[in-house]
Amino acid sequence: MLRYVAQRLGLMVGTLVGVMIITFVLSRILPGSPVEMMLGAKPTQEQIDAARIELGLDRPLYEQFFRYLGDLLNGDFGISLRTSQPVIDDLFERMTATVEITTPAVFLVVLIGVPLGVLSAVRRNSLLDHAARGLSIAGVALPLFLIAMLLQMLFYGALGWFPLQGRMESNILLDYPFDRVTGFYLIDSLLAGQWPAFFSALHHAALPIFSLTLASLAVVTRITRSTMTEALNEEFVRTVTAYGLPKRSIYFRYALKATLIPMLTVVGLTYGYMLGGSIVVEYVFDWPGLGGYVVGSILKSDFPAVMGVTIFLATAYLAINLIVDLLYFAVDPRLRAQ
Amino acid sequence: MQISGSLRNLAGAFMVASLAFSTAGLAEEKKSATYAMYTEIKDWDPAVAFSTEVIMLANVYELLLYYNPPGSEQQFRPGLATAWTVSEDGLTWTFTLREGVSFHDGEPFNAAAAKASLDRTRSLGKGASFIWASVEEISAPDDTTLVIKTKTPQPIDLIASAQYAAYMVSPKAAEKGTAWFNEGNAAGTGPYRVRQWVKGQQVVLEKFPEYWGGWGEDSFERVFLKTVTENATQVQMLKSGEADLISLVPADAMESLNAEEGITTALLSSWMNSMYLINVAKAPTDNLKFRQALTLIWDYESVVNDIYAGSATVARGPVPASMWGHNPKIEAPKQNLERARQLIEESGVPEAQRKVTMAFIGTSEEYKNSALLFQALAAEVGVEVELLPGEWTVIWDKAKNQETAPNLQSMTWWPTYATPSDWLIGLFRSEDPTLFNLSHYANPAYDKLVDEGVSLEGSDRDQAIADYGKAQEMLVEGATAIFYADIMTRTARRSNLQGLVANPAYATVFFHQLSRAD
Amino acid sequence: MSSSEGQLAALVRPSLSLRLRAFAGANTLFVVGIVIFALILLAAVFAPWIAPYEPTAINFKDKLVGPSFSHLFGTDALGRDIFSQVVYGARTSLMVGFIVTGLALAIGVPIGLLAGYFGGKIDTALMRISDVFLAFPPLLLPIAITAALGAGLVNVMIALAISWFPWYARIVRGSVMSIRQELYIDAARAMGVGHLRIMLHHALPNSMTPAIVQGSMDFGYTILAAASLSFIGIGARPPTIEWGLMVALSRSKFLDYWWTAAGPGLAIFLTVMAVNLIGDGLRDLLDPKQKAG
Repeated sequence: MLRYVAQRLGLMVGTLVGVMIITFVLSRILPGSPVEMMLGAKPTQEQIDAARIELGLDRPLYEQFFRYLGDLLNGDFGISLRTSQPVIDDLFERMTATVEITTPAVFLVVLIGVPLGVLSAVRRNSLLDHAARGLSIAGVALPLFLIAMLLQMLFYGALGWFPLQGRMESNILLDYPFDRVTGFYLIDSLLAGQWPAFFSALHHAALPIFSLTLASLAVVTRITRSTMTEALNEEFVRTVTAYGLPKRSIYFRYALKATLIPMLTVVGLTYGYMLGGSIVVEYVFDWPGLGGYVVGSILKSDFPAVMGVTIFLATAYLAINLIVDLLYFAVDPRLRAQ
Repeated sequence: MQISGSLRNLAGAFMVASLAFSTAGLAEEKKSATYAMYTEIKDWDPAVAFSTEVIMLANVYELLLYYNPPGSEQQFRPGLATAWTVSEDGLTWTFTLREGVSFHDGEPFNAAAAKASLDRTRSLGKGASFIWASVEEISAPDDTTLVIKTKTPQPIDLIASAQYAAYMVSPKAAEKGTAWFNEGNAAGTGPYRVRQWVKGQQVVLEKFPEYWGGWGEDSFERVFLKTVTENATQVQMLKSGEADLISLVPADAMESLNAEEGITTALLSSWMNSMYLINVAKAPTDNLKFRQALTLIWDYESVVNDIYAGSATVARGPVPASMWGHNPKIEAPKQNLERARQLIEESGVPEAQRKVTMAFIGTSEEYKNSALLFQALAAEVGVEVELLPGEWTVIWDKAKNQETAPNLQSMTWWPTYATPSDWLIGLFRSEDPTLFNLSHYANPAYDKLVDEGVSLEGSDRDQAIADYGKAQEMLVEGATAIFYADIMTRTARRSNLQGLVANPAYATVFFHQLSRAD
Repeated sequence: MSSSEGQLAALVRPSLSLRLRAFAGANTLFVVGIVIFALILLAAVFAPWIAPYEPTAINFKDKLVGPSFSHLFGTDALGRDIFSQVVYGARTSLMVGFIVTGLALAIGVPIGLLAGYFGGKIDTALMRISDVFLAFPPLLLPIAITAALGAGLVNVMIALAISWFPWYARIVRGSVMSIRQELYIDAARAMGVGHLRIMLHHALPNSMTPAIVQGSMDFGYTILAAASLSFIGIGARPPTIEWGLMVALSRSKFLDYWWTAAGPGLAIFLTVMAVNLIGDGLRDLLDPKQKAG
């Protein structure tokens, strides 16, 4: 087990270095060289030379890269041109807002998608199965920004049930103050016992969460259905069926158990997918997370911030995949035996 | 089924939550007002701020005197100064200050504090501090007397009523420096103090009970300044009652908003105008005939009537017609594609090079739509237009540097204080390094003219107007910009908001004067 | 993502047309996909004849008019006919799909071929490098690359291809590795046939089928991704007509004028759905091992 963990960790570190090579290369081909950014419009040649030396641009490329790598490892992602804050501070400030919509969305997807997939596998070709298949075909073809806008149209425009955008109502934010302990509004407001603040936060988070949920629902339902179908055809399930066990207990105790491992992968993949999806969703809902931050940074040519988010999210993505892999390893006895 | 049961519960929970906190509520509170502003407060230091911060500043800080809306009996009204006089030679201004005023932090307001505020602004040299450039010395002979001496005769009354760089700040707060302000702190004498700042979300202003001007029965005690960048969102907030006033009213939404129950829209006169500056130093727009052709391609009538939906008039030159010193002899431009085609041929710009870039603020519907229209029209006469929408700070940075500058640059301008020189010098006088002269226009004869004009503003107003008039003609003849619209301020508010007075001198709302009808 | 290890293409090919007919008969969704896609393709090719108006023609008299017989999908804030724009937009989206998929194949296939054929250190090195490109949540790498190259449709296409090629490298590598075990490859080597020749004449043809199946399934994704990038403002820009950009332009209007977003939105949806149905069908047809339920 330990060896496997070490091996996987090593692989992840290697990939991360690769990620940093990519961002390093990208920051070098960026419009506006670092020298220009430092000196402004009309620098003299001496100023340029001095700045090049100061930034280490006169050193060989590999040396520059190691310097870059060292900075990153020290948490130095540069200074955001937009907020004039260290990028790393901005990232931590905004990370919680992203996690606050992606995590509930993953739970919802599993809560809805898995049962739907199971049912549609069990009752093949039933009305429910066809509906679920139709949903998954349509769901994959709808871009996330359209889903988000449709939800705004329906739940804000037509029904008026949910707010259009933002994170909390103004007066509640003022009158029900809570300390930012974890950075999650939903948790912090509960910790402070401020119920109105909690409900306002939930109310505002709902549409972004639904958007992410709907976007991933199709994939999760589809994968659950196919793994469940396979599981139902497996030897041992057929055996217990022959023993005459009640159907429901077969489905949920045996077959679903067999799909647990593939499902784990699905959850991991979904979470990663949502990190990407949050970019569009946060943009549409003006949600102050990492996704909205990266879009805003691009539009304002704030490249240190763009690269910072890129590295940050890639690391998170890899970490999620690693955790899934390790869980997979822990759960599956066949893998461990190898 | 267990699963669908719990799903139903979940949906139910959300329903309950949404009923409990339905979107109205906020604005209906009698003593609080909500304003949707389109950008975050960036510079909190009143000595530095030079942009939309005025929305907050003008409610928290105060000026020595205020410029009255055009058409008023008096040009000025007292603020923290109760009276002022100017010496015969026009070089010494004496202000008598209001007594018994204190800052939010408890410090007393007196001549020493006023002198410290202005001196600090001048020595920092940031933002709009240039308006004090001609000041020789400021002194405070006693607690209620402030004396400002200038090198040349200057309209110090106009300058002191400026919406930037003229606010009175608590000397104790000022000592803490710009960084302290930028944490969301403030200490003025105004009716409101800053209660809360949630970055990227809102600034909350709260009643300052000891305000010298006193408090009315119905005055707003709380003002929410919410950051809402999308104008569509602002419109929605106004409709739902989440906002009382919004800062970005799309021109084409004015009519439909006004038809809506509970919402009133209005067009207010302003000193704001919009233009596309033409880069005179970059090919192919370094060619005069080619530039003139571009100004003839523009469809002035459609832009003003359809894109601005009547909330603008066709501009007659670089200075808005509502500002003193505007040259009335300049005629409104007209589209003439035939003549444009002819000029392009005469210009000698080869066909392959008839290509221009056009940068504008991408979130503005009016800029965007006028640019799209211009692009389509230019194609008809064989000029290719590449659109470069972007965020202001980005396109501004690019436009300053000739290497990255576009041929056409969107610009909306309004004066720091009431003077035509703000346009003529701020936008077109030679600059090095470039700041706002994004036409990169450099003409010594022109510079001389406007310099003379500004030095005569205080003493020989007529000669100043004559100089400015000539300068305006030079800019139009030189096709330095497509001067296309004098803008009226579009406002939209909840109808029950009372007391709003239009004043083109201040790009803000004075909340202390407002109240809500029952 | 599905990775395929099939050597079945060779087995399938002789009876392809026969199977296709039988398959289509049994698989209505595949046919639906083909029909919709054909219609969209026709719209793209014959856009000037189909579009009732010049797509960029501005007409303020008819601005923000709802759908009617004279304007099937209504008009936008400048009075431009949305239906005509949608028709022309098909050109952009299909072009993006073909170019990105083609580019990604062009980068991915040779890498997969080399890795799978030579194995060992070359394989490890190439696959590790490819894996780095898969270490980003969807959309993030294209966004970062576009940020570096500068906004614009061409750069978006390059960015998407760079972000997407490793999938093809993986698939091709997989099938080449399994072919490599085949006897006839050894025989060819023994007869002194060069590596390049074997790769191009034996390994490549046999591994292309799964790659193309994958490509057809990703085609829709590339259209979605490009539309998303245009939507957030770093993709296509006027006068290019692109559906994602149209939706972006409608953002300030759609709550009051729903049709400004509906036309282009529907177009994206139908196109991607059609392409996905075709992709699924092709996979079931050519690569039955991967058949999903």
